[in-house]
Amino acid sequence: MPAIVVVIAVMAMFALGYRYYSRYLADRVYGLDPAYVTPAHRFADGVDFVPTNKHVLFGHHFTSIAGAAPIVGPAIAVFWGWGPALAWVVFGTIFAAGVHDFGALAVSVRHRARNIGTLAADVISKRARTLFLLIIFFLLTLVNAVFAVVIGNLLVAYPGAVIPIFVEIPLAIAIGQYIYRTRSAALVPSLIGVAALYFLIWVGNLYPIEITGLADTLGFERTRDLWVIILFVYAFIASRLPVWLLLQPRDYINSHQLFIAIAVIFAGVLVGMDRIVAPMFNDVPAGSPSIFPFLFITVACGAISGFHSLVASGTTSKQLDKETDARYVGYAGAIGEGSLALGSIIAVTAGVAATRAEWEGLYASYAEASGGATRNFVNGIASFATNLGIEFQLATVFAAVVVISFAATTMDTGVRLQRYIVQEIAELVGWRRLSRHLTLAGLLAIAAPLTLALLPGGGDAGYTFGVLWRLFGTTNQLTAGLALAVIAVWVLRRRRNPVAVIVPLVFLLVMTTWALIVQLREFVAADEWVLAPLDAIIFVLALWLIVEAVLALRRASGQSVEPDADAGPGPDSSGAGATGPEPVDKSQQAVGAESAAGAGATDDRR
Amino acid sequence: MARHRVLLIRPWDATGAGSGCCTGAAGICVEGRHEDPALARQRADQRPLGEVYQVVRAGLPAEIAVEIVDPRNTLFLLPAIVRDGRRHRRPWRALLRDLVRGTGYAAIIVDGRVVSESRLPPAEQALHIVRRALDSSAALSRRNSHRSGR
Repeated sequence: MPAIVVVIAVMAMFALGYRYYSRYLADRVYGLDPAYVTPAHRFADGVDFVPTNKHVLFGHHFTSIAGAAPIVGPAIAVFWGWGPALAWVVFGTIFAAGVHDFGALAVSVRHRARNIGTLAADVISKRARTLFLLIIFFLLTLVNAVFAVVIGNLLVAYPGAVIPIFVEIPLAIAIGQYIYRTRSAALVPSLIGVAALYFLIWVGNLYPIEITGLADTLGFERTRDLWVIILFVYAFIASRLPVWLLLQPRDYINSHQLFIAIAVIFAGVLVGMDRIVAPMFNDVPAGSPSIFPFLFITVACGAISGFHSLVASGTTSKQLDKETDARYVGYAGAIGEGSLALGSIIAVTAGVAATRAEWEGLYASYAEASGGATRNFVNGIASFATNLGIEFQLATVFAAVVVISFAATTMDTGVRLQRYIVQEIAELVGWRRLSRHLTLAGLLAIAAPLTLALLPGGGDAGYTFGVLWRLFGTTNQLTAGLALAVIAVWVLRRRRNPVAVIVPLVFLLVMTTWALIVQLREFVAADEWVLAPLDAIIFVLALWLIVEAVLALRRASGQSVEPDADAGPGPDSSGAGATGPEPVDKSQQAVGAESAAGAGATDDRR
Repeated sequence: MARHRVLLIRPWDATGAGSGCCTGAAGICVEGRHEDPALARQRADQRPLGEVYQVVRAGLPAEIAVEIVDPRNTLFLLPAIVRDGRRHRRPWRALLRDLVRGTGYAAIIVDGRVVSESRLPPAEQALHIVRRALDSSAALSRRNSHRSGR
C-alpha cells in the first residue's frame, strides 16, 4: 500500500477526532466554559501566569511534548505488524491521549493551575503525592537509562554522528553566549548553528569516529557501555549548568531540526511514493512477547504518555487564556505527538526496506526489532531523504543526529529533574542532609539509570534495551493512569459522565499490570535480579494506584457536587479559602452544593 | 479596522527550555521545595518582562492583543510577524527585516513591526513605545485603506 494513502487516512481520522470527539469531551465531559476566569487571568503575574493566545500556547506546548520517545516506541511496535501499531497510535491518540492531555489541562485550570502531583494529593488522597513522586522517580530512571542506550547504540552504529553531536555542544554554548552577550536576534545565529551542524554532519561522515579500540583497551565488553558512561558524565555536568548556557540554545537548534525532519519525512514520502513493505499483521516467532499487553506498553508516547500531563498541568495550564482553549492546545497537541508516531511507523515500514523479505530480516525477532528500532528509523528517514536528492550515507548521519540531539536534551533535563525528585523524596523521609546536597543528590540521580543502562545481556542492543523500553513504557502509562484517575474523580464529582476517562484508565491499568506480571515471571525465570525487583516495585506502585483510584472514585460517586479547589486566594496558598468557585451549569445548580460552597465568593465568570 | 497585536519576546536568558516531553516536565520543580537553582534563576529573569507585560496590558484597550512569546516558538512567531505585517500592509522588504529581528533580545513587536530590541525598556517607557507604534500603525492602515478605496 502506498504510504501516502496511510498518511492521508490517519490525518483524516485525527481531524475527525478533533472535530467531533474533542468537542464531545469539551461540552459533555469536562464542561468547559468560555466565561470561566482562568488562573492565567486570576493570578496574572507576567511570569508563570500569563493569559496567552491559544496558537502561541500550542507552539509552547507542542515543542515541550515532542521528542524522541514517539519515534522509538512505534519503531519497535511494528514488530507485530504495521496494522496493530498504527491502530494503537490512531485510536490511542483519539480516545486516550487526547482525553488525557486535554483532561489534565482542564482539571489543572480548575485547580489554580497546579501540577498533577499536587492535584493527586488534593483530588485523590495525601498518599497519592508520595505515589506520584515514586512513579516519577522510576519513570525518570528508566527515561535516562533508555535514552543513554539509544544514544550509545546510535553512536556505535553511526560513527559519523560523533563529530556533529559532540561539536554541537560547544557550538550551542557559543551561540547562546553570542546571543546573550550581544543581545542580538536569535533566529539568524541559530540558523547559522543549524547550517554549521549540517556542515559538521558532512565532516562527520568523512571522518567517522569509532571508539571500539579504546573500549577494548579499557576492558568494556560492549563499545556502547563506554558511550553510556561518557553520556552520564556529560549529563551530570550539563545538569549543573545554567539553563540558558547550553540547554536553551541546543533546544532552539533542535526545534529547527524537528521541523526539517518532519518536512523530510512527509515530503520524501510524497515525492518517492514509497510503499509499505511490512506486513499488516506480522507472524511473530514463537516465544516473542505477545501483542496483548506488550503493544500498549511499547508505544507510550505517540499513543498516550503520562509525561504530557506534567507539561499540561505544570506550565501550559498557567497560561490558558480561555478555558475553552484547552481543547485546541491539549487535544491538538496530542494529535501532533500522534503525527510524529505516524512518521516513525512510515519510516520503519516503507522507508527502511525495499522488499518484504528485507523488512522481515530487520524484524526477525523482538530483540532485533527493539535493538534495531532507532537504526531502522534512521535508515528509513535517510531513504526518504534520498527521494529528495540527498546522498543516503549523509542522510543517515543527518537522521541519527536528529534522534541523538533529542535524546540528549531529554537526558540533560531528565538528570536535572531526577536530582530534584531525589531531594523531594529525601525530604519526605526526613533525610535532610541528602535533600540539601546538590552534588550527592545528583550522583544518586545518575546511579540508578547508569546501572540499568550497563546491564549485561543481548549483545549491542537486543534483550536489555527491549526490556528497559517496556518498563519505561509501563511506568509512563502508570503516570498517565494516575493523571486519568485524577481527571475521572474530578469529572465524577462534577456529576458528569466519566466513561470517556474511565475506559482508557481501566485499559491502561489492565495492560500495565498484565505486562508487569508477565515480565516478573520472565525475570525470575531468567535470574535477572536487577530487573525483577524493579518490576516488582513498579507492580506494587501499580496496585497502589489501582487501590487509590478505586477508593477515590467510590468516594466521588457517593459525594454531592463539590466545589473545585481552585478557590484559594493565590497560586501558592494552601487552598483553604473560598474566594471563587467554578461556575455551575444547570445540572450542577440542581444539586446546589457547588454554588453553596461559593457563598460570598467572588464571581469567576467574566 | 485591522486588528492590532503586540508581541513581547522573552529575553534569551529567560526563555523556557523544552524539547522532549521530559524537558517540559520541568514545571513540577516549581511547586516543590527544591526548585533547581538554574530554573529558579531563569524564572527570576522572567520577572522584568512580566512587569512590562502587566503595565502594557493594563495601558491598552482589551481588543488589542498583548502576548509574551518565547523566541524559540518559531511555529507561532514567524508566521505571526508575517501575518500582522501584511494585515497592516508592511512592504515585503521591511517585513523580511522584521522577521529576522523578531527573535531579538527582549524585542517588542507591534503589528509585525519591531519597535524595540536589544534591551528591555522600563515598563512605562515600553507602554509609551507601544502606544506610539500603535498610533502610527493605525494611521498607516487608515491611509492605505483610503488609497485602496479611491
